Formats: sequence, C-alpha cells, structure tokens
Amino acid sequence: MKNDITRSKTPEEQEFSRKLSELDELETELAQRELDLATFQAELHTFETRYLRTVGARYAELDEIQAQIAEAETQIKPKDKKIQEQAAQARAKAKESAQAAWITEEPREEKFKPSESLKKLYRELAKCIHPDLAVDEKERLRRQKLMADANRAYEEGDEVKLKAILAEWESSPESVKGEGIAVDLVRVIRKIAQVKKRLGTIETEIAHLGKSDLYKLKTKAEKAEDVGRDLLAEMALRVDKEVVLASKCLTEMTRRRGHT
Amino acid sequence: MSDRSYPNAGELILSRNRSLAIKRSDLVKRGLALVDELKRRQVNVLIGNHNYDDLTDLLRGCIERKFKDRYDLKFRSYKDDEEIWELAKNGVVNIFVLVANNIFLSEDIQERLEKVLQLITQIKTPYERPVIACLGWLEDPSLVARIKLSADFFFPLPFRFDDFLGAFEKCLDMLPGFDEVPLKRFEGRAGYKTT
Repeated sequence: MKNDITRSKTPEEQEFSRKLSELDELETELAQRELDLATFQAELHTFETRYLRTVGARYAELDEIQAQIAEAETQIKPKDKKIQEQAAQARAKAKESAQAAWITEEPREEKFKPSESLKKLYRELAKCIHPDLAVDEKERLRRQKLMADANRAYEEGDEVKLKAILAEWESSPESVKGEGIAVDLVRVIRKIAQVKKRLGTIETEIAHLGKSDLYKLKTKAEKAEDVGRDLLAEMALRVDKEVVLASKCLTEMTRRRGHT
Repeated sequence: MSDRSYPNAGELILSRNRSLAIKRSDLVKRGLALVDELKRRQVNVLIGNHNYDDLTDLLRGCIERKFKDRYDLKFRSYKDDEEIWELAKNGVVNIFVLVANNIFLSEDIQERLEKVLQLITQIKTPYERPVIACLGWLEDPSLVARIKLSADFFFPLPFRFDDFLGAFEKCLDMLPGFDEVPLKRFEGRAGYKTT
C-alpha cells in the first residue's frame, strides 16, 4: 500500500493559482503593449524633431519675414487700424512658430530603431515595475518614477540605464512577494483589474496617436519614401521658395520706404 | 493658423508643455496642407506622334499653359518604336497621349493601328495609366471602335482643345498620389504594433 500523502489544494489556493497564471499572461501582454506605445511615441517624437528641423524652422523663418512685411505696412499706413491688427497677428504667429520650431535637443538618428535586446529588456522591466501592479499609493508613485525613467532610457536607446533600473528594482523590498493566501488572492485580483484597465488606456492612447496629424504626416513621408521621394526635403524646398519671395517683397518695401 | 478648438492629438508625447505642443501641432497642420499641394507634383507625359512636330508642340503648349501651376509636367520623347514599347512597359510615363495613326510607320494603316492597340494594352496591363487616343484616320469603323474602347479618352481629329484639356485633367485626377501606395509595416488590429 502506498503511503504518499499529497495535500490537495484548497479551493482558494486553486483559484489563486488560476489568477496568478491569468495575471502572468496579462503582465506579458501589458509589457508588450507598453513597448508598442513607447516605440510609437519615440518614433513620432523622432519624426517630429526631424520635421521641425527640416520644415518647421523654414516656416518660422517665413512667418518672421511676413511679420516684418506686415510691420513695414503699418509704417506706410500708420493710421490704418486693420493693418495694425494684421501686423500684431503676424508678429504673434511668427513668435509662436519660432518657439515651436526651436529644438534644443541634439540631432538624433534619422529613425528610431530599437534593437531586439533593448525591446526585450524594456518588456522585462515593464513587467516588474509597472505602476498598475502597485498595491498601495506609495509604491505606485515609486513605480511611476521608475517607469518614466525606463521610458526615457528606452527612447534614448540606453540599455545600460535600463539594466540599472532593473537591478535597482530587483534588490528593492517591493519586489518581495507573499503573505496569507486570502490577502494574496485579493491582491492578485486587484492587480488583474489594474492591468486590464491599463491595457485599455494603452489601446486608447495608441488609437489617439494613430489619428494625430503628426502620425498622418509621418505616414505620408514614409509612403513617399517607398516610391523614392523625400517628402520633407520637397516641403523644405517649397517653403524656401516662399521665403525667397517674401524676402524680395520685404526688400522692395524697405527700398521704397527709403526713397520716400 | 489652425483652429484651436480642435484637440491636439499629438500632445501625449510631443512635449510636456501643452502650449508648446499646440504650437508644434499648428506647424504640423501646415505641413499636412503643404503635402496635399506636393503629392502629385511631377507628372511625366508622353505624346506619341511620329513626324508631326507641330501637333506635338501644340498639344504640349496647351497642356503646359493650363496645368503648369498645379503640376511639374515633364514631357518624354522617344526616338524609335523600340523605345516607345519600353516606355509603355516600364512605368516611367504617367499619361500617354497617342496620335494613333502616327506612332508606328508602315505602309498599311490598319497594321499600324493594330500595333497601337497592342501598345495601349501594354500601357494598361501593369500600371493602368491613363491614355488619350487621337485619330486622324476613320475609314475602318471597327478599328476605330476598338481604339475608342481601349483608350480612356478618344478624339477624332480635328478636335476642340477645350475638350482635350478636359480629358487631360481627368487623366491627372486618375493618377495615384503616393497616398495610394500601400504601406508594408502597418497591419493587424489596434493600429500599431512593434515588430
């Protein structure tokens, strides 16, 4: 007769195992979708920087010249209120464009191309430190800060930094799990709810970004590239022509004013 | 400037400063509007008309006068039959204007027109590019009908230039911009996925 005594799992332990496995799958999915979102954001950011440098800066230049033209007109007709208003509007627009086109960051790679190891590291990290896995507010805040650092490091392609964040997390007390089964079960159910909520938010954010003008422009630039065209360069060329015309106009106005 | 009442769809990522994000989004909107102006910028046109330089020049002049502001028109010439067959195949030319009875030189006009029909098939087969056929020989109603059917627009010579330019404009509208080129990377649900 066999003497093996194997304790069967209690119903709550069975439920806990099921929930843990569900949570594990959801965490994996969450890490992947966080990666998708971070990559999408980084790609858009990189494209925006390129666009602002190539085309935005030229628009800023054009708006500045047009503001000067409008201001020159106010000197020709100083009592015309409509012209005064137009000049003020043109100046405001020029100021806004200059601020918008002003990029302080260093030029980056033409395109955001995360390596496979970077993506893997990010997924691993997101699975551990995600703020929606926090059990209390204090832990959530700490995780949020770590997640923000991780996002920045990912966008910068900084693998060393990601590894450092992971190492820091693994040695922290928050990474230690366990207590009574009932508490753990409640905790895991809440975590599942949080992860599902975050997954929904990510889908919304991705859809939102996918509808943005910046994404539309980026898509057009990529499609143009597929047929051998450099859309941003073409746009820059076109705005340059407008800049030349506006400069001529301004020079002519200044010359006329000099004669009168 | 753009309408500020629209939500700034890109600000989630663009800047931590909402005001700056809105200003940048305005610059992006201007860029999008500019793209619409640029997207069909260059159009390559071939006027197939062997020996008839005056008519070619006339057609070219009319097209340029009417459309040069909206399109960067490039007129392709060809030196022999071999080259026009090549141009029909390779996708370089966007719009073909064929003076059907004066493209291929041989004694038999019907033979020439049969070749033109083959040429139009060749033009249409891989790329579906628009074709305007003009014809100064109308003796064989069956051949004329076939050419008329195979081309997008047909004009028996002589024709009114306004009608011709109207047809040319429709050809321009038929051209795909780069928006129609399918993008390889994006597929599947939820809009965006990393690979």
